[in-house]
Parts: sequence; structure tokens; C-alpha cells
Amino acid sequence: MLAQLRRLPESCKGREFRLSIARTFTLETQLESLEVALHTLPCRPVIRLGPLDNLEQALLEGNSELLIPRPDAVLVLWRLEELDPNLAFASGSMTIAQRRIAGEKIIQRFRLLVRGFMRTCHAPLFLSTLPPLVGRKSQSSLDAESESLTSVRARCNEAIRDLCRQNSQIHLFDFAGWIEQEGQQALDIKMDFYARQPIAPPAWMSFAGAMVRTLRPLRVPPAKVLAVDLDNVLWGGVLGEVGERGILLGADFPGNLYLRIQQSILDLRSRGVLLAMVSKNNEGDVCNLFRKRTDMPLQLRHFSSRRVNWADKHANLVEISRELGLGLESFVFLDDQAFEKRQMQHYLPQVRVLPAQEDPLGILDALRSTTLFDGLKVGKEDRRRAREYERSAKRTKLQAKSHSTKEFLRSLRLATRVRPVTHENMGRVVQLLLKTNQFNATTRRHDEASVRTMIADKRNSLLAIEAKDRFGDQGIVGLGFALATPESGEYRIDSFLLSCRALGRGVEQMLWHELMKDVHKKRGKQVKVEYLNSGRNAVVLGFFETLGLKKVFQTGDRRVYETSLPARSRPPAHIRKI
Amino acid sequence: MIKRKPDNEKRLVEAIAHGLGVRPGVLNEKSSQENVKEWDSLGIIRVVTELETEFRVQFTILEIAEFLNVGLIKTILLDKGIKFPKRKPQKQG
Repeated sequence: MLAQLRRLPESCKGREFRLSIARTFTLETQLESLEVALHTLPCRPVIRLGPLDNLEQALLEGNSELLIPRPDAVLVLWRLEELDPNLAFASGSMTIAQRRIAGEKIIQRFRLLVRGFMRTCHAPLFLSTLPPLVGRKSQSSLDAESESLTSVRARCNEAIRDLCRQNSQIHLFDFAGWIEQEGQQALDIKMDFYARQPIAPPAWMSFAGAMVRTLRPLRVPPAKVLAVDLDNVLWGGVLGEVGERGILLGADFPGNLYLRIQQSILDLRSRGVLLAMVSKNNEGDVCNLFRKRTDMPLQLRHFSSRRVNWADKHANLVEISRELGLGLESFVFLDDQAFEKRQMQHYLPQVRVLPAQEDPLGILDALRSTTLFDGLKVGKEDRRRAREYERSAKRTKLQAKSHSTKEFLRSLRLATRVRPVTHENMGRVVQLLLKTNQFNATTRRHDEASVRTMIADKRNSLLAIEAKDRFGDQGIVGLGFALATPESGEYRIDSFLLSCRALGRGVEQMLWHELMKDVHKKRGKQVKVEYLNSGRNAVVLGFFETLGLKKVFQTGDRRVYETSLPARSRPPAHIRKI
Repeated sequence: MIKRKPDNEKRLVEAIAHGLGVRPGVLNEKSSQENVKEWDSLGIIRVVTELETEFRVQFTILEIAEFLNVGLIKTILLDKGIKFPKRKPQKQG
């Protein structure tokens, strides 16, 4: 298979993806599986393995063979067996205090490695959790030695999770979670003794798949909306036929399956996925059911948009996409009926259809195993996204009630704060770079490593704008990156983008004004503004026209404008600066 | 239709060759670390995986330690009930 993948034309393979792996055990035999899995991103994988047992050299020295090729991601795979063999194999002869101290030493090593790495390299670093010892049978609860080792490992893993929570550059690869899922048969004690190769050959592909799933959000932006059908998805039976008392939903089979499906969908919502309802039903029946069945995990308020009628589902989905201001490529469609899924694929090929079987177990499995919503981290912004879209609907209502745009903007009581892009807000910054499609001048999908490199050059101006109004705080909604060019006093706008949630209220104007001010402060005299047509970002052109920029170059999909500093731009009068 | 017995000799050589990443033609019973440069520790891991899959057997760790040449590997497989065609004795004088 790998030979076939390697023979694919370059255009099918995608961009190069340089993955460097620091590890404490043998991985050489699994590189082919990893390469196959990486091809699915898609990308042209270039994998480098660090030396065994020398994590510090591999991760902290700028000239190490892992860091020299400017990796797109660095992965660390480690085990207790190698980090502290004495603790792993001879802990029986250690006192509880000695075991605790040994655990603390390992945690301290993690912290030093992470701190040193962040000083040396800007690439995202993926730390694996420590897996259980290979071949260790679960022992009785009276076995204090085993229990203590388990708790030391748990503390180490919690420290790894903390490092990931505290640093936007650090991410988690849940090696221990993978083993928990695969079971001990994924491990090979014989090969571990013989060649320090703990993963059993039948599990190589699964292990590679788990690693690539973790890396995937670096290249593929997660979907934002799950559009769900109702009958035989959220409950068993057809509501219109069996009535609210006849639907299958509850503690017993098969109602228990539908309960789990609802819970899984709610879990996705808590990770920031918006929910939309698309069903051929009488809306009154559906609303009644939700009002009466307060025991259902999913409630009407969890859905950011709903279309319950007898129209075609694809037509309904187009309406929902307009209502939420999100492109159709952000949608995932879940339906039990093959006919509906085929129709959706035919009419709206941009929408991804969840490949679920018609039976409820198939649906549950598809929901649990889908990678379409995977992001690097679930951040504050993700958790509040659903609420943000509810607020957005309130803004739309207010706008409809207002007599003029001016009145609407004034009544919003909009306030913005412009801040430099830093390591602290990096997570949200990269998320915006990856996800923003419509108001995005160049659609350059910079990753963390590139943004960190840009920040390192103090001449550059990288700004993020936060917005809040009477309905709530929206957090960071826009970015402007002005990079110094080798020409003295000349800057180039590398990225200028605004989330569609904040568009059309003057925030873009405020961001532009602040960016120009900052560039001027950094002794910028001339600014070149680039526009790259992505097919979806024409709205930016309209904005550039309002700024009175001078077009100096146009070829194909690329236009370049120019402006001199100080710019004549003014901040919008209805926006307060905070 | 006559069902042919699988040629275990051929399967053995092909599995080892695949594991080591060499052409089957370069291997014989005396092939070992001494004369095949790909016969290193990683190569052995791959050979073990290939043979366990091909012959549906499991090697113990002590058996793996005896993977010193093709002939020895064949002997270990014989012990596990894998049959190889007997060689015709060479004519004397």
C-alpha cells in the first residue's frame, strides 16, 4: 500500500509534513504504518526518529537532528520502564516515600524538557501519557506496591496534562488511553524484552492511526456544526406515527441506545460543536415532545438552529448555514436514512455526511469514532461557542427591530480591545487562522510554529482584536499581521481576518485602524496589502475599497494594494476602546 | 483439481527476505549476520513478525535469540511442526 501511496502524483499528496519523534522505545519497525496513516491527512510525510534514551539531546539542542529540519510537529513517546527502570521494576524494594520522590523527579524532568523545548523550537510539541507497564497483570487491591506504582504513573500523567493545559504550544497524545481502548493484546512482552518494541505487530496500524488522529487538527480544521435528523436518530420510531408516548427512549433496550446517542451529541456540544436540527416532521409535535420529555439529555435550547418541516433537507441546511453565518463545509450531517444521506451528498457535496449505519448502534459508533470534530484542544472559546451563536441570533433580532444600521450599531454598545498576539492567546489565534474563510484577505493557514517565528521578530506587528457588546463577550474575533519587509520602512499585510460572528459592525475597521497605528509606531512608512482570492473571501475586497487603498498589482487571483503611513483611517465612532 | 501442498521452503525464504528487505535469491541456509548486512536487530524483529504471520506460529524469546542463520530458523520451525521437503542425499564419488 505504501508503495502505491508513494507513487501518487504530488498534487494528490498535499503539502510536506515533517514529523520528528523523540522516544524511549523502538519505533523503527512501525515507520511504514505511520507513513501510511500520515498519508490520510493528506500530506507527504517526512518522519525523523530521535536516538533512543536521549530525550534532552533530541529536544533541547537546536542542532539536534530532530529540530534542524524545522518540524511541523514534534512527538514525544515515553514509558516509565525507561524513564525510571528502578521505579518500574524494583519498586517493591522502595519505600512509599522513595517512590513518591522518584515520581516527583520524573515530573520535574517533564517540566524542564518542556521549558527548554519552548525556548529552542516553535513547533507544536505532543507529549504522550505514560502507558501501563507491559505485561503487568492487574494485582489484588491489597498489593500496596502495585497500587503505589499506579498512583505514581497517574500523577505523572496528570502533570503531563497540566503542561498541555498551561502552554498553548504543548498538546497531548493519550498513549495510555490508546492501550486502555485496545487492551493488553496491543502489547508484546516478548518483543519488548527482545528489542524494546512494546507494540504488538497487529496493533501497529491502530497505534499509527491514533498518533495521526492527534496530529490531524494541525492540517485539517474541525467541522463546526452537527446537523441531526430526529426520528430513529435521537429516539426510536417515527414521532408522527407512534406519538410521543410511543417513541423508544429510556433505560431499557433499545431506548438506552438512543439515550447514549443523545449523550454523545451533547458531549460534542460541550466541545464547542454547534447543533442544528433538520427533520421532516411537524414542528409542533417535536416542540411538544421536547417540552414534555425533560428527562432527555438533549433539549431544544441545545440547538443553535432548527428546521422542522417537510422541505428537502439540503434546502433546509442551506438556510441554516446562512442563519449561522457558517459555510457548508463546516457542517456534518447525521441521518439514519440512506436516501437522505445520498441526497445530501448529491446536492451539497461540501457537507460531510457521517458514515453511520441505519441501526442505532451504528449511529452511536459513528458519533464516538468520528474525527471530523477533532481539534487540538478544547479551549474557553470552544466551550462558549454555542452560547455565542445564541447571542448572535439575539443580535439579528435586534437588527431587525432597529430603524437603521446606525441605530442598531449604537444600541449594541460595542467595545473592543486590541492586543498583541502572544504565546498566551496562541491557541485561539491559530484556531482563527485555520477556520476563518469569508473575511480573510489571504487565507494563509499559519500553524503555531510559523506564528511564533513571526512574533520573534520584534519589527512585526501581530494584533488580535477582542469584542464585546450588550449581549456578551465574544473574545478574540479578528487578527491583523503586518510583517516588516527587507525594504526599509515597508510592511506587508500577511493576514487580515475577522470571524463572521463579528463582521459588519465596524470591528474590522477598528482592527485596521489599530494595525496601521502600530505599524506607524514601528517606523513603518509604506504598507503593501495582499488579497488572495480563495473563492469565498470576496467580502474583503469590498472592505479594502472603503479604505481607499491604491491597487498596484493584479494577476489571476492575487491583488496587491498599497497605502502610506500615517493612514487616514479613523476608528468607528460607535465602538468604545477598552 | 489437485491441491498442491504449499512450498514451505519458498515461503520461509520469502518471509525472511521480506523481513530483511533483500531479494530471496541472495539467501541460502547459511545466510546470517556474517554475510547479509541487512541481518541486524531491526531486521530480526521484522523477520519474526513475518514468520509468525506467515506460518501462524509464535516464537519464544529464547527461540528468537537463536535466529542466527536461515538454517537455524528452519530447525526451529521444524520443531513447531512445519514440514520442509527432505533433501536428496548427495551422491558420493
